[in-house]
Amino acid sequence: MTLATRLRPRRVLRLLHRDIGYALFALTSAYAVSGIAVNHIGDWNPSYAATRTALAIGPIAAEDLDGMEAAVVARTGLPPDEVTGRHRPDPNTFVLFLPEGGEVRVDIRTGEGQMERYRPRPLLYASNVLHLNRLKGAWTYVADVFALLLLFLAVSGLFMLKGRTGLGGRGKWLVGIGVVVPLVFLVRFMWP
Amino acid sequence: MNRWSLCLLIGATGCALAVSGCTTSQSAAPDSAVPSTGAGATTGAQGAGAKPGQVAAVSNAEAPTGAAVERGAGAGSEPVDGTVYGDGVTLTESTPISAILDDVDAFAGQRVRVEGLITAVCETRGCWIDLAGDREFEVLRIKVPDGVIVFPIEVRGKYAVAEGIVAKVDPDQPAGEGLGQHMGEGEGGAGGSGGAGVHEGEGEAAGSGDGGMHAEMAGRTARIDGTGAVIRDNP
Repeated sequence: MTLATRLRPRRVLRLLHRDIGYALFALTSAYAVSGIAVNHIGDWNPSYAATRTALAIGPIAAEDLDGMEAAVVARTGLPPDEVTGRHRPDPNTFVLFLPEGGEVRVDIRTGEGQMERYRPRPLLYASNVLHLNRLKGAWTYVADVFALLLLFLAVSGLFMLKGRTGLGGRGKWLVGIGVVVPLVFLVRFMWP
Repeated sequence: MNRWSLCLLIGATGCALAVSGCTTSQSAAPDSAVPSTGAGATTGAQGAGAKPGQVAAVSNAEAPTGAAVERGAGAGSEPVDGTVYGDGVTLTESTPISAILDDVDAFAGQRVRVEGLITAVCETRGCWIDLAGDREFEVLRIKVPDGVIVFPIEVRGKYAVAEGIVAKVDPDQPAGEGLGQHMGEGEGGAGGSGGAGVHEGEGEAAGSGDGGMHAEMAGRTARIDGTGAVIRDNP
């Protein structure tokens, strides 16, 4: 193969598209999964899974915070060193805070309440951290480079092929669909 | 795997390891109690005469249960240790939450620093936290722009020092309006939409911990449009 053949633009585009595609596979997959999860953020917490357990530990007679805490800890079987804080949002409610955002919330008059625990969702938590740039710092620039490479993949995909299967052939229709669908939603959103 | 691919893989791994050390989102500052500067001293920021920014050291609070927080005065500023969110904290003196709630009009539009136990966190977007006040059954909401500052759920039960602009809220605002919107949908400012701080015990309270229920804002009189916070395990 001559140098000229090797350096033909479309060939170079295909090679780069392929190799960059390999390199971006993991991050693109993570971003895609995270994107779906975060897209439904109104319906669920995409990063944490909550476990809620109903409690019925009986009325709490203590009137001081130490006494309330001791009673709740004893009756729920919580390890005392798990308690990270306590709070009374109102005269009838006592709250103990647990690690990782958990809490025990009890009505001191009836002893009824709820224990709430959170745990990060496997893989999804990590994907969201990357996708939503919780890391900040240098990751911001890595993510920028990733975005630029994704843009390259998009643009190179337009010109990789020629003829019937290229942009001049059926490609133009598919690109058109890809532009029209979001445009329709945008137009309806901006001019309801 | 040929030599070229192996070199590429090793180089990429090395670069990633090197660059990852530059990530500074979560400060590694060890949690430490802010040094006490003396018992019995009262805060220098109370009531309508509060002047945010007065230099004063912050003393340790009592147990994180909403009990009165004592402040030292005139002992010089101390850095706030903990994990920094947003712009962190720039003011050196905290205003008692009770003072803000007692006279919201005097504080509306002012930049203040507050601190307290985090009693609730937005479970949906991490866009707000509730801080327990120095007076019983009071909390104040710190609302931050969606996506710009995100408080993870695990900060509930920790101690926060937060800073921002006090916004007055209509306590009669129907539940679900105003702060029911995330900040990106409508800016809150002084007198803006939404509610965040209230004397609790009045029906539903934000301290319920069910962070996704913005309907609990009804009855609140103030919130802080936060610009930053520092969160640590202990006061």
